[in-house]
Formats: sequence, structure tokens, C-alpha cells
Amino acid sequence: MPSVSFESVTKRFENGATAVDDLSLEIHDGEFMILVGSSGCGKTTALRMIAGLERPTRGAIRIGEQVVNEVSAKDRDIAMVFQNYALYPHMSVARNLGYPLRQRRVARAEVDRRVSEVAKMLGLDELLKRRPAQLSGGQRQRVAMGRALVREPEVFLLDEPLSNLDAKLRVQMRAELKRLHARLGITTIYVTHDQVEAMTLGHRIAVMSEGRLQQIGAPQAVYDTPRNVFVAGFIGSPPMNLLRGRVHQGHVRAGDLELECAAPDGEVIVGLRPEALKRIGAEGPGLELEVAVVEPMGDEVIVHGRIAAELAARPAEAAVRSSDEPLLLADEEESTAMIARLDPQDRPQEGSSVRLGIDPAAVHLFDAGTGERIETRRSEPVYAATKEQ
Amino acid sequence: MATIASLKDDTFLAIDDPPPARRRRLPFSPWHLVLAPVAVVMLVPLVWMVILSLETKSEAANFPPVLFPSGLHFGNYVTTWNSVPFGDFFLNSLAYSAATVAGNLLFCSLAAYAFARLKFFGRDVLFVVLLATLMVPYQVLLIPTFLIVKDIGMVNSVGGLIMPNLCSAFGIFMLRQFFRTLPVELEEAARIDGTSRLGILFKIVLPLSLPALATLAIIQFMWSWNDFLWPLIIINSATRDPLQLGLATLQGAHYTEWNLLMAGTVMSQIPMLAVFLIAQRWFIRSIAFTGMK
Repeated sequence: MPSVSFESVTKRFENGATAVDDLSLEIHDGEFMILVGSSGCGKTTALRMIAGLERPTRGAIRIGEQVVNEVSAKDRDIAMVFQNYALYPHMSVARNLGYPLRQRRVARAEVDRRVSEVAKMLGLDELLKRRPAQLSGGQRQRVAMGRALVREPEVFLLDEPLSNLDAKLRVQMRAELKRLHARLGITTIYVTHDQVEAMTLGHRIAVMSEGRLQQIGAPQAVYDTPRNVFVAGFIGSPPMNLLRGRVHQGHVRAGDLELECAAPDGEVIVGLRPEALKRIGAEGPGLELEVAVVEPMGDEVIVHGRIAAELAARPAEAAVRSSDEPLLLADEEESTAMIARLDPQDRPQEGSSVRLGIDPAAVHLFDAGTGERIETRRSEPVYAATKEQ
Repeated sequence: MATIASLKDDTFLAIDDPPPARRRRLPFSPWHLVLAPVAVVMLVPLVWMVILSLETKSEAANFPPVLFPSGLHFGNYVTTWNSVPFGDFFLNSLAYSAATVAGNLLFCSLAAYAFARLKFFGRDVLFVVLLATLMVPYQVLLIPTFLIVKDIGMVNSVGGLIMPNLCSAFGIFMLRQFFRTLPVELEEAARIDGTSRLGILFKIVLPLSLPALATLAIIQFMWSWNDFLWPLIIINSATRDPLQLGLATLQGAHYTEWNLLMAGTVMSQIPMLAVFLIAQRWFIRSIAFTGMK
């Protein structure tokens, strides 16, 4: 199995939109790589360039050692599963599965053998005579997978293959995909905007935004140390809470929250994962959360609320304003939406307020100007404290 | 109005409401009042054609026209068949129509696919120019077309009859519009699966375009089958005459046997009916297909 690499690849469309901007990325031999990002971030365009459906404006794409920019789609040894499956409606399942082989003039006996092999692997044996219109969503998805696998391609491309399935089937197919990859070891590139797929499926994930690669790494590593505010907000569900704050002489302050940190002075964005918040008693340092909505999930409770997050710089800003000018941003500045993930026994009442303590190891700091991560020395004692202390 | 929404309030409201005014409904859609007269206007010439074909020579020549003939003279059909080489005309027409239908299906789909999916310089301008040619009246094109065919040396030949009609701007336009509605992912999937551009057209696009192809086939067949002017100009030996020219020979300079002419005309329309009935299920599906992914 070959590796796949992007070398400073840029794709600009005729209408001037830049879909992929200077992307450099190497997908190793046999790796399961996830391209993740919100819609329009260029992940699908990147995938289509590997497939040969789009031509890069600049840069090179390699499959193995070969630069494939000028190689047509049919001559790259790749297979792709489309979001809407793209099964040929006028062919039976068997003919759909065998199509890529017939196009490559594989002998009929061999086509039949491999079609039945793939059909057995994906549980499609009973459906071989049906047309795509007679299949359920999950079955169509499996046929699309089968059509891609039957050729035993060198690179396997998947464009949001599970997004049209219902939740239960998605969980099932996710596990199946993982099993298939473990068994076949094909270099796989998987595009998704789904958090869970991104975290669970791949060896590494590449987070993209506005055509640029934001971060690449093992899912857990990306989750634990997001490189910038975008990644921090994007990876993780519910998303990380991001508060505006300020570092002053080794202390970061965001509203009520004050923490010791080893970051240089300046405006920062403080990131707190919902699970870093724990309910604590009235005593001890913590944050006051006004509970708005409680979502019991069974094993956990997602609590949406607001905290008083007055900005350190606010008094100065307020002084500049003339008295009759309405404080348009007052609401946003005086309180900030916050999501916490609590144990079911800690479930608060809607409309009440709870005190939340913070796991100090889980505080992330980002530069307010650039959005880049600020490394804080974790060995230093970091603690949560109220402003009064 | 109700401050407390309760089921009870709602039921009372419902009861108090006056019953919806019951309109007197026609047993048919009001549109039929418009459509029925139009249908009658369309049908009259056809019905009259059939009536004339069954009348005697004097009844057909009578004025005012005889609408209820004294008897049904089916013999007119036999007489017509025997008085001119009707079978030959028929075969000539069939060859002409079949060849132009086949040519249109092939060449129009090739051009239409290029206009629909390939990217090349000046594509859209070229397409507009092509559409503009639809505006040029046929009579204007007739003489230049004749001169070209004459220069090639194909006057009075089957080739000269067929060749200028092998492809039409209308067919290209119609198929292009249809091809553009097909999901492009199917073609991309086929490209990845190792299919060439031509392969995609023949293995993926055309099988999915049967409704549009059937429609084009019907339209083209109708056009060729009823074509009179072009055969009249290009063919000048009776053995190569298609049906419409042959029928014209039944029309004398001074006297026309209308009953025989109409019998011939009725016979000449039968293949068109047959083609329509055969292609009809595709014709209708072409509308149903648009709702499908």
C-alpha cells in the first residue's frame, strides 16, 4: 500500500474561491486518516484531488512515489465512496459491484468470484439481484463500500459515507469500517464533519478550516492539546467553553475565574472542556453557573447555563463610552454561555445556580490576537479561585 | 381568543363554526370546459379524413360535404394500395425515418454530452449560437442545404435525403438539458471505476436517459415521416419517393380522388400511431423520472 501526500497544494476554483490553501500533509502507508472540518473547509476538495476529480492549481499530489497531478482518475489505483453512494440505478447490485472489474477487463469468472466474496463480507449475498432503488439506506451504503473494495484498490477514499444513515446504523457501520480497515490495511482517507467519527475511526485526524490545515495528530492528542482556538472549539462535543480573559503577572482572569499560570501578560482566550467542570459545595473556590437548560443523557448530564464572566478590561472600556450609548455588548460581556458535563447524581434544577470547580489540568490558554495555543507549564501549581481571594 | 387553551374550548369552537360553504361541484374539472372544445377542433380534421376515406368518389367530391356516407367503402384502401407502389413508398419512408432517428440519437447525444459536461473553450457561446439556429426558418436553409448536397453529388440519392437530417439543434438542446439533470456523482464514480468519457456516455448516461431518448425518437420519427419538402426537392425518381411524396401523386392537376387520397393518408399515419404507442411509456416516464434522485 502506498502513502499519499499533499505538497503545498492549493486549489482555486474558476470563480476565484480558494478551497484548499497551501496544504501539506502526508498520509502513511496503510494509515486511516480522517479529514475533519466544518462544511466548506476544503476537506472534500482535498479528497477529490486525490481521486483525480479535481486538479490542483498549485503543488503536487503523490500516491506512493508518483506525482499524480496529470494522471486521470481511472489510472490512479483508488476507489471512492460518495456521500450519496452514486450507485448506478440501472444496474443490479451484482452488476454494480462488478462494474469496476469489468471496466478493467477482468475475466468473467474472476469477476463473479470477487463479487460474491465482497458480497459475503458485507452481507449482501441475498440482495445481488436487486436494483439500488429497492435497497434501504444501509444496504445502499454497503453496496457502495463493496463496489469500492471489490477492486482491492491501493487507496480508499470515503466522503462522509455515514452521513445519510440513521444514528443506530451509523454506530454499527462505524465499527464495521474499523474492522474492515484492520483486516484489509488499505490506506484510507475519510472525510467527515462528525465529531464521533473523527475521534473514533482514524489513526490520525487532520483538522481543516477555510482551506487550511489547522492541526494534525492522533485524535486524543488533538483533543488534549488543540493547537488553536478553532481546533479547540471544533473538536469535542459538546464544544470547549471559550472565555475571554487576561493574563497579568502570572495570573489569568476571566470573570470570576482566576488561575495562576505561566503565560506572558496580555489578552487571552481561556478554554475549559465541559467535562473539566465538576459540581462542588458552597465552600471552596469555583464558578457560579446560572442553569438554563439541563439535558440528561443517562450516563451524564449536559448543563447549559451562563456564568458571570466580566472582562478584566471592561471598566476601562466602559469609561470610554458615552453615557447615553446603550451597552450593546453588555449582555455578552457580563455573562457568557457555558456548557458543563456533570454526573447524573449532580443534576441541577433548571433556573437554579450551581457552583462548579475546575480541574486545573484541563485549562487551555490561547492568544486572543492570533488564536494560537499558549503553552503553560503544567508542573506549576495551578488552582481555581474566586475573585475575592 | 381563548385564554386557556383546552381541548374542550377547541371542540366548542369547532361546533360553533359555521359549516364550510358547500359548493356545487361539477362532475369534472372546470379545465375540461376549455380543453374539450380545443380537443374537438383538433379532432375534426382527423375524423373527417377517416370519413372521406370511406366515402364513394362522388360523395367525397360533393359540396356541401357529406358527413354520413351511404356505406363504409373499405375498398378504397385496396384501390389506393394497388394504384400506386404504396409498399415501396412505405419502405422508403421507413428507411428515411429509421436512419434519421438513429442518427439523431447517436449524434445529438454525443454533442449534447459535450455541451452538458465537458469543459472547453467557448462552450457556452457555441451553445447559444446553436440555439440561435433554431430560430432560422427551414425555408431559408433549404437552398443552401440543397447546394451543399448537390456539390457532394448526392442529389436524388438516399444518402442525400438522409444526411442533412442526421443531427438536429433541437435534439442536442433537449438531450443536453436532460443530461444536466443526471447526478454528476454517477459519472465521477464511473470515472474512478475506470470508464472513459465515451464509456460513461454509453454505459451510464444513455441508459439513464431512455425517457429523453424516447421523446427525441418520437419527435424525430414524426418529423421525418411527415417530411414532404426536403424529399420533394432532393428526390426525383418515383422509386425513391417516400410516402408523403407518393401520396402527392394521387393528387391530380385537374382532378383529385379525395376518397383514395384520404385512404392513403390514413394508412400513412398508422406507423406513427404505432411508434407513439410503443414509446409512450417512456414518454410519460420522462416526467416521472424528474422526481427521482
